[in-house]
Amino acid sequence: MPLNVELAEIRDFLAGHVPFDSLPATVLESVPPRLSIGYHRRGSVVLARGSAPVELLVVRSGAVELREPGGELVERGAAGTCVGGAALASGTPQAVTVRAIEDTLVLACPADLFHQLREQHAEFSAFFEHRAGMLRDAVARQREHVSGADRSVLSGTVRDLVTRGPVSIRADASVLDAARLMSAERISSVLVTEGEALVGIMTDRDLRTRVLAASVDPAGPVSAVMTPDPATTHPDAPALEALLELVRRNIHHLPVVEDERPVGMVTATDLLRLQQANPVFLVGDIAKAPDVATVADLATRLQRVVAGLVRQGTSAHDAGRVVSTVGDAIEQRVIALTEAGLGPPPVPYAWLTLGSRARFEQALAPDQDHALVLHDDYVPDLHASYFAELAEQVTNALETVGYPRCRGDKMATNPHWRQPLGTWHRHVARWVGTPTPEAILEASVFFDLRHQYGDPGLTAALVAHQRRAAQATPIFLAHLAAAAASHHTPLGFFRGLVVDRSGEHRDTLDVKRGGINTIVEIARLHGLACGSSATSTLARLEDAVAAGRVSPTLAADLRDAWEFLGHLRLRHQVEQVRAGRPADNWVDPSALSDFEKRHLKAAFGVIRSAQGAIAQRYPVRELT
Amino acid sequence: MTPDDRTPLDELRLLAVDLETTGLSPARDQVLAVGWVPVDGVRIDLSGGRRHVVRHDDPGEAVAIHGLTHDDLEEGRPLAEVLAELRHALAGRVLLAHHAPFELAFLDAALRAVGERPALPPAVCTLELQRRLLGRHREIGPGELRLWRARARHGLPVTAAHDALGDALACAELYLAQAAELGASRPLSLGDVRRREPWLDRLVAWWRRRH
Repeated sequence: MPLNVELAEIRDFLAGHVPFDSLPATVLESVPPRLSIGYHRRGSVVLARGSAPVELLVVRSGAVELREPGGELVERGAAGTCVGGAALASGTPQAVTVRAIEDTLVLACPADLFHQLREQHAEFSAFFEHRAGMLRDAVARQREHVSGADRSVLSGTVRDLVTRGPVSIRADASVLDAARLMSAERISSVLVTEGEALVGIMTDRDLRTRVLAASVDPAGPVSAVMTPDPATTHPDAPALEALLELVRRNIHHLPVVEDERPVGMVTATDLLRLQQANPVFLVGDIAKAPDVATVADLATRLQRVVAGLVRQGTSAHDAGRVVSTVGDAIEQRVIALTEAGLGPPPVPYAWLTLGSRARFEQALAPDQDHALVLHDDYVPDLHASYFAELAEQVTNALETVGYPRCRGDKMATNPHWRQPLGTWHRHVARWVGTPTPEAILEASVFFDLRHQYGDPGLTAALVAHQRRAAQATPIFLAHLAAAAASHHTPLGFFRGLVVDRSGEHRDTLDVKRGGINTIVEIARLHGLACGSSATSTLARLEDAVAAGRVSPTLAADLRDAWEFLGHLRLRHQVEQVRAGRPADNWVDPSALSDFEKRHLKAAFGVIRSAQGAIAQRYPVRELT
Repeated sequence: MTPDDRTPLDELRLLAVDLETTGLSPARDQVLAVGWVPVDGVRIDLSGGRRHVVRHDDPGEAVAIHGLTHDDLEEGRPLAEVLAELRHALAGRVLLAHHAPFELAFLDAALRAVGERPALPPAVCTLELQRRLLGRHREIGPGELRLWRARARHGLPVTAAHDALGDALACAELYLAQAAELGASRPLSLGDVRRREPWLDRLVAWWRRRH
């Protein structure tokens, strides 16, 4: 062992970058003396495509770029970027040429050390292999990360409900002292003890009914007016059980006792807190709201509900369902209230919800997307004003509630999207028959529709017509494919910026446009092509796998990528809401952890390979 | 085999050396620590990196500068042993240092002090190379030739305090960057980068003035 070999700086550098950061300190210590250092001038080749790497290179300073033989950018990386590892791990030739784009210093880890580290350290090894299910594990870890202390309250124990220590008073203290204590502590009940044991409870109500109303002297002992031997619960009892106990006994306070000593209190307020954070209660309350103002008031709870769900580790899929379901309840209630004001409709109609909510995938920054299908008995001169008024009033009310108007005007207030069924059939014929870019854009909104209110038969008729037309029109599918394949998916990150295929840098990542929407479009294409009647992304992918259009592996990867991106957006939006800012889809790359960046890169890779598969199947280039 | 002036830089073997001393005078001051790291062509071999503290009973005040304690120095190794190891490491290599005359002068004095005949190898000086690189374009400002300023110009990482090995490594990395820049237009050999004796430079300058 060489004396005084102080390569601490190199060790510290490695400790700050994946995958070396996963190595135990003692192992990391032994790495630097086995490395060598090389230098590459800007523009020179660091590792040529087709060569067999004999070492793993780690960029120490400067930057490198990986490009396909055709010049397409694959990756751009600064300090900490590993090069040659995948080829070295799999024993295959280097897939893409690596070139220095700045004067670059590299640390070289010889193959024998590299293989030794891979054999002995699973996390180090995993970094160089694109394992199936990598994103799925990442999603699981992401969700686990946020839950921890704040598990679902109802699935927890009484201990989780207790928010403060017990406040107690001796049984021989005066009622006056007890009242003063309650007032000072701002509590509505006090525990009464003898020694350390709980013997009773005195509440605000006891003070009212047993002291004031009964003209009892407040100088007398608490023990004379308290409720002796109250019902209690144990810290390890299920939280749900304790809350049911409150409801069953119609009491507001339930002391928590351990070894005869009071340790806290469960109150009716805890129940209320839970109820407010529960989407089921929220939907119920919205359905009963007497007016739009009440609906608007209830809608403000949605963000809190979602924040609670995220803390409990809910998936993006489930959160999307909750947000959509609450949105549905709001829209239905607003329509019902409006209809009640306007009187019954002159002909049957169906109110359709479009876009992300129709797919049950709404996030926290929604706008309005809806349309009206009218019965073919509709006579414009007689009935137009009723439906125009209905659309206008509902849209206004939804705006009041917190759903901004659609910027693309895909709303029932637009006469185009307030038509009898026959006209809708002509819309469909136009979308599929002459798929101009504008028509494709419209189709992408209107092919994700769901019945919301009114006559479901009208909706069903339109949906059936759409499905038949789409599947029978290859040129339409080809245009959908061209659109889905042409979206620019980011490559990854470079010094805190998002890099796309053209090599351009951006300082924000648009999670929706840059990822989620592309997966939605890919799923829509495959869903429509196989005649699936599903509207949600995951269901469409499942149907496409069943029809043999998409490989189960690719579908699973897409689902994981969609969930990963969705969860990232969800957490981003919940944090924005918590900070009092409006929710949006733009994530600051510098706020992302290395873990998130690495898996985002993998998610982008999945999207690009799905786009590649589409480009192979459809004559995409000729259409764009 | 000792490299000669025709040895291409790609094959040139060097040893980057850094000394920590009690002061600037080879006649009066002493070597406190020696660090080195080998360079094989265009690669620095970290496995050959060493740092040796030299034993001293009364090292004076310069100790603090290098972050060495009196205990470190009392537990150090005898100068003769350290020098013997350095000579071994230098076998077949060119000495590489930032401001090489300093290292050469101190090594010369140290070797004499332990009763050895100083026979030092050819040297490459990164300070001199930096002067050459900067002087190609313009006047050189004060401090620009310092090791850390020179490194910064090449985009090499800037880090905190250093020991003898850290500085030897910093010098070796700078050399790789300089060699890459100097050799960008044509392949170079040792003769192109080797440190010239000052008298030789003066002779060349005199000869140029005459012709």
